[in-house]
Amino acid sequence: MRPAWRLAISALSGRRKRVVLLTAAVALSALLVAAVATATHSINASLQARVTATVGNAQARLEPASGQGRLPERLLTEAGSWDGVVAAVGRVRDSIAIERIVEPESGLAAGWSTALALGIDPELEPRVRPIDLAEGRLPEAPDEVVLDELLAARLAGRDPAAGMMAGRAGQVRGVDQPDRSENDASSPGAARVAVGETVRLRRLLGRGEPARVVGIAKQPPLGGRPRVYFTVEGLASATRGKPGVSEIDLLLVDDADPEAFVEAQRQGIVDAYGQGVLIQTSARITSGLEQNLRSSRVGFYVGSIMAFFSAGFIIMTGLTVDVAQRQRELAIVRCVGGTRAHLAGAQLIVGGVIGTLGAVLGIPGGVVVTWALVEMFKENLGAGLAISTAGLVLSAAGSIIAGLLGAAWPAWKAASTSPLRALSPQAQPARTRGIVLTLGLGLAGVAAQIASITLPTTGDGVFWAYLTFGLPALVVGYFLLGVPAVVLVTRLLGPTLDAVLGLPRGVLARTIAAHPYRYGFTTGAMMGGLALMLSIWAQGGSVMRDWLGSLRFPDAFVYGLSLTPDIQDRLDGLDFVEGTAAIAVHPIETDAFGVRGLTNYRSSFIAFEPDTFFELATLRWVEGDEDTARERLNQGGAIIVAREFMVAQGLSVGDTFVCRNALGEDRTEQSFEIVGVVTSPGLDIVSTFFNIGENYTQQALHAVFGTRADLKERFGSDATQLVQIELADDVDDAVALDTIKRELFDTGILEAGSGREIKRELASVISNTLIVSTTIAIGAMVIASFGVANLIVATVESRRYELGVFRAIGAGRASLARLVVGESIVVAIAACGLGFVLSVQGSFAGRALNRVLLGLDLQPFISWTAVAIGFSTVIGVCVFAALPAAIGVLRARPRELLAVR
Amino acid sequence: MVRCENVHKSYQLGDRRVEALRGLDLTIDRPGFYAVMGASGSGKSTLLHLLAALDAPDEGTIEISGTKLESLGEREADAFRARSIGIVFQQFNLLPTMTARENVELPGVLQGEDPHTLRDRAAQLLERLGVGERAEHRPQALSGGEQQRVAIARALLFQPKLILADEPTGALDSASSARLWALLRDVADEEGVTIVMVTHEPTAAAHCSRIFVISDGRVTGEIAPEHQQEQLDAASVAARYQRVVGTA
Repeated sequence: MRPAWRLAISALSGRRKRVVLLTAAVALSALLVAAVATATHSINASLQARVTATVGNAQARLEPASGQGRLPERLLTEAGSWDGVVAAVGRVRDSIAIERIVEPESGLAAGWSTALALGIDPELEPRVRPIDLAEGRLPEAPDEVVLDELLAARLAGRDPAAGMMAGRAGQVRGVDQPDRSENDASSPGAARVAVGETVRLRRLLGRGEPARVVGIAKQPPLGGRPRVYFTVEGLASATRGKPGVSEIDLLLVDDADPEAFVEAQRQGIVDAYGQGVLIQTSARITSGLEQNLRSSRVGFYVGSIMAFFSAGFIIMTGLTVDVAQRQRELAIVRCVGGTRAHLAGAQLIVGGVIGTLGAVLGIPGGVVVTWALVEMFKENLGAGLAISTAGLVLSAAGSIIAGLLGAAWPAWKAASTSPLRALSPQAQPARTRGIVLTLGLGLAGVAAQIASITLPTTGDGVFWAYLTFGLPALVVGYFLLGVPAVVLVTRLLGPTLDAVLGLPRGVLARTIAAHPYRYGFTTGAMMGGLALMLSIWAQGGSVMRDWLGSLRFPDAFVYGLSLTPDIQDRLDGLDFVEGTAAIAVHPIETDAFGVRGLTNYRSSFIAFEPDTFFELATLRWVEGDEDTARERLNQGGAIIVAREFMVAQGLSVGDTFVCRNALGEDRTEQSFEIVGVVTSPGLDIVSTFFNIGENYTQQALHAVFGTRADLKERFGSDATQLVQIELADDVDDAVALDTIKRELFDTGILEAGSGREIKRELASVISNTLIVSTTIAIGAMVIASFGVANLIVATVESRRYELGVFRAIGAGRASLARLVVGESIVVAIAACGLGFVLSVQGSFAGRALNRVLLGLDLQPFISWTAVAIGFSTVIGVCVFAALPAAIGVLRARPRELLAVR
Repeated sequence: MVRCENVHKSYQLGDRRVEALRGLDLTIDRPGFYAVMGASGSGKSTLLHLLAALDAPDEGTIEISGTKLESLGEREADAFRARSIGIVFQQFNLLPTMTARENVELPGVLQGEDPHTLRDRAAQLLERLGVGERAEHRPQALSGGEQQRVAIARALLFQPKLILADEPTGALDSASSARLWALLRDVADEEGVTIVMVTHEPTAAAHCSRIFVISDGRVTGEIAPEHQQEQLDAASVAARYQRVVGTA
C-alpha cells in the first residue's frame, strides 16, 4: 500500500488549492450532516420535552375499567415486571379543595381553590411525567406538597389567567380575608404561596391536616387546571381515600409498539383481574403526537441519507474532475511501473483523507452552527442544544464512507487509465450511448425506489427496504439523471442563453456537450441540497396542514358539575358567542364489559346535539361515516363509540350496546345501535388540558356518545357538564374567557378555557419548529450549494487550458466570462428541475412511509415559497460561485491560461 | 537484447482500420545508442509502445533481454517495465506534484523499494546527470533540459538494459538538444545500456551508432557508419535516409 500512499500524499500536497476546495466541500457536507443530526435531535428533544410535559412520557396506561376507584395493589409490581416495560409508575388522581394557612396577623391573603390533586411516587414520576420545578423539590413525606404556580397564585388570592375573583359561597376559588396582595405587590411572597408555607385540604366536614409546601412547579406548556402534588400516601391520607393507585403509567422500551403491547397484555389482565382493569395506549399515542415524533425521526434518517449522498456526490464529482485533469500524470505513473491498484488505491486514500479531514472540520462546525440556531430560537427549543452522539458518529462515518465511495468511481477511472491514450491526450467526445446509459440507470434507480415502497407487504419491510435500498437508489438515480438533464436543458435553453449572454450561437451547447458527465454530476450534487430543503419543508407543511389542521377544537369550553340550560342561554346571549353545544355526561351501568350478573360497571353516556357537535369537533371515522351516523343519531336509539372502546369491548358498527341508568329509580335496560367508531386526537389533548378526563374525554375510552334527546327520553336527564363555545373570529380569547367567567361566576362553573389558545399553542410549537427546521433546511441547501460551488470553481480551474485555447483563437475576455457564467446557469437550472422532481417523489414516498409505518396520512405538500427560495438560492449560488473563476479568466492572458499544462 | 519478429499491429480510427506495423522485424544484439527514424505515421511510436510493454502486438514476437513480452500478464508487464525498461518522453512527463528527486524515486516507490536506498540512488543519478543541485525543485522550476535530465535519471533508476526515448529533444532548443544527445550516448557507452530513440530528425539520429529506418510499418533499412572512424552527421543521415525511403 505504500506506493499508493506515496502517490496519494503527492496528489494531496501537490494540489493544495484543489484539496482545500474539495476538503471545504466535504467539510461543508459533514457540517450539513452534523447540523441536521444535531438540530433534529435538539428539535426532537424540545418537542419531546413539551409533549412529555403535556401528555407524559408513558406509552400505555392501566386504570380501573369503571374509571373510578383504585387498581389492585399487586398490579403495580406485576406491571413493572412485564416484558417491554421499563417502568410502571403509579399515581392517584383526585379533585380537592385546598386552602392556604396564614397567621391572622401576617396580613397575607388566605385564598383557597379547587385543584387537581396528584399523588405521585417522587422517584418514578419524573420519568413518565417530568415536573418542572420553579423552586424547591418534590414531596417526599405524606405531609409535604408541591403547588403549581397557578395554584400558588390562587391561594395567594391571585389568578394570573383571569384576574382575582372575589370569594363567594359555592365558588371554586376565593379569598377568605381581605386581599392585601396589591399592597404587597413588591413582595414575591405576596404574589403566590411560597415554599415553607402550609396548606390544607378543605372538606365538607372540617379541614385536613396541614401540609408543608416544599416546592412550586411550573405549569405544563399548555396550561391546565391548578395542581397540587402529594406523595401517593400523602394524598390518600389527606382525602381519607383508599390506599393504592388509581392509574399506572407504563413506560415501554424504545422500540416497543404500544398498540401491539396493549393488545398482547389485554387477555392476561382479563385472566388475572377480570374486566375490572383496563389497559390502553396513553394520550401520547392516541393523540398522534408520538407518531409525529416518530415521523420526524424517519425524516432525520431520510435527511441524513440524502446529506451523505450529497457529500458523496460532491467528493465523487470533485475527484472525477481531478482524475480527468490528471490523466497524463496517471499515465506516466503507469508507464514507470505503477499498477492499476496503485492508482485506484491512491484515489481511495485521497477520498478517505478528504472525507476524514472534512469530518474533523465539518462536524464541530455543524454543532456550532446548530448551537447558534438553537440560541437564536431559544424560546422554541426549550431543551437547548441536544447533541446526538450516535448522530455525530454517524456523520463522521458517513463523511469518511462518502469520501471512500465518492472516490470509488474516480479510482476506477484512474485504474482504467490507458497509458497510451493518456500519452497522446485527445479529447474523447462523450458518446451518446453513455448518456443514454446514465438515463437508463437513473430511471432504474427511480423505479427501484417506487418498488421499495410498493412491493414489501409489512410496515417494517417498507421502512427497511426504503432506507437501505429505495432511498439510496432514488438519490443515485437522480444523480445520474443529472447528465441527461443537463444535456436536455442545454438543448432546450442553450440557444436562448446564448442570445441572452451574447455568446456565439451554439457555443454553450458545444461546451457542455464536450463534458456532459462533469456538468451532469455537478448538477446531481447541486440538486441534493435543494431536494433536502424542499423535502424538510414539505414534511413540516404536511404535519401542519394534515395533523394540526385536523385538530379542530371548539373555540372555548365551560366546564361544571351541573350546567343548566340557562347557562347555555346566557352564553348564547353574549355578543361574541356565535354558537354553543352542550354536552352531558350521564352515569350508566352496563354489562358490556363482560361480567354479566356479577358486577355492573359504571360507564358514561356522553350526550350532545349531533349537528352542532360535529360542527365543533373533528372526528376521524374508523367505522361508519358522519352523514349516516348523524342521521341515525337524530332518529334516536343510536350511539357512536371511541376506537378504544371497540378495541376493548369488541363491539363495532351494527352491534347493540345495552345499558341502564345509574341514577334514579328507573333501571330499565336501554339498547342502542352502534352507528360509528371514531377517534378524536383533538379531544385527547383537550382532555389533558382541562383535566376533565374523569367526566369527559378520558371516559370516552369506555363511554358512549349519544344524543341529548335520547338522554332525556331514556334516562330522564337534561343537565350538562360541558358547553362547547364557538367564538367570533375577532374576539380576543382572554377577553372572551374573562367575560364568560365573570358572567357565569355564580353558576358553579369549575373551569373555562380556550380551545383556540390550545390550538394556537400547538400551532406555535409546530410552526416554530417548522421555522427552525426550515432554517436548517435552507442552511443545509446553502451549505450543500457552496460545497458544489467549490466544484464549479475547481471545474473552471481545470478548464483554464481549454479556455486559453478559446482566447488564442479569438474569443474575447468578456465572452469567456459569460461562457463560464452561462455554464453555471445551465447547471443551476438542471439542478432546480431535478431537485424539485426528486423532492416531490420523496414526499410521495414519505407519505407512503408515514401511512404504512405510522398510520399517518399526510398529503404531500408543495410550498411554492420554498421552491422559489430554493431555486433562487441554487441559481444565485451557482452564478456566485462561477464569478470568481470567471473574473480570474477575465484577467488572465491567453499565455497564462495555456501555460497551466 | 531486442528482437522483434514479424510484428503486426493495427488500430481502429473511427471507421478506418489503420495497420501501423506490418510484419516488422528488428534485432539489436548489443548495447548502444540506436535510433528508429521515420516519417509521421510510419509506425515508429507504435513500435516504441510495444517495446515498452505498454501495448501488445496483434501478431509476432517481441523479446527483450530474453523476456518474451507476449508471455507477460498485465502485472508482470508493469513490473517488467518498471525494472527492465526506462522510458524518456518528449514532454519529459515528470509529475508536477513531486520534486526532481521524488520523480526519480517514483518507479522504486511503486515497486516497494527501500526508501533510503532509493534516496541515495536518486541523488547519485541526479548528480551524475548534472542536476544534483536541483534535486529538491519541482519540475516547473526546472528548465526543459534539466527536466529531461531528471527524466533520464528516472529511466536509469533500476539500471535497465533498455531505455526507450520518444523524441526526447522535441521540446528543447538546439543547444540543450545537443547536450542531451551527448549525454545519452555517454550513458549508453558507460552504463552498457541499449538506448532506442524514436525520432524523425536527422540531427538527432546522427548521434546514434545505428539508425533503423521505418516506413509503412516495417524496418526498410539501416543507416550506420560505413567504417569505424566515420562520424555520422545530419546531412549524411538525411541523404542516406532519403535513399533508403526512396528505394523502399
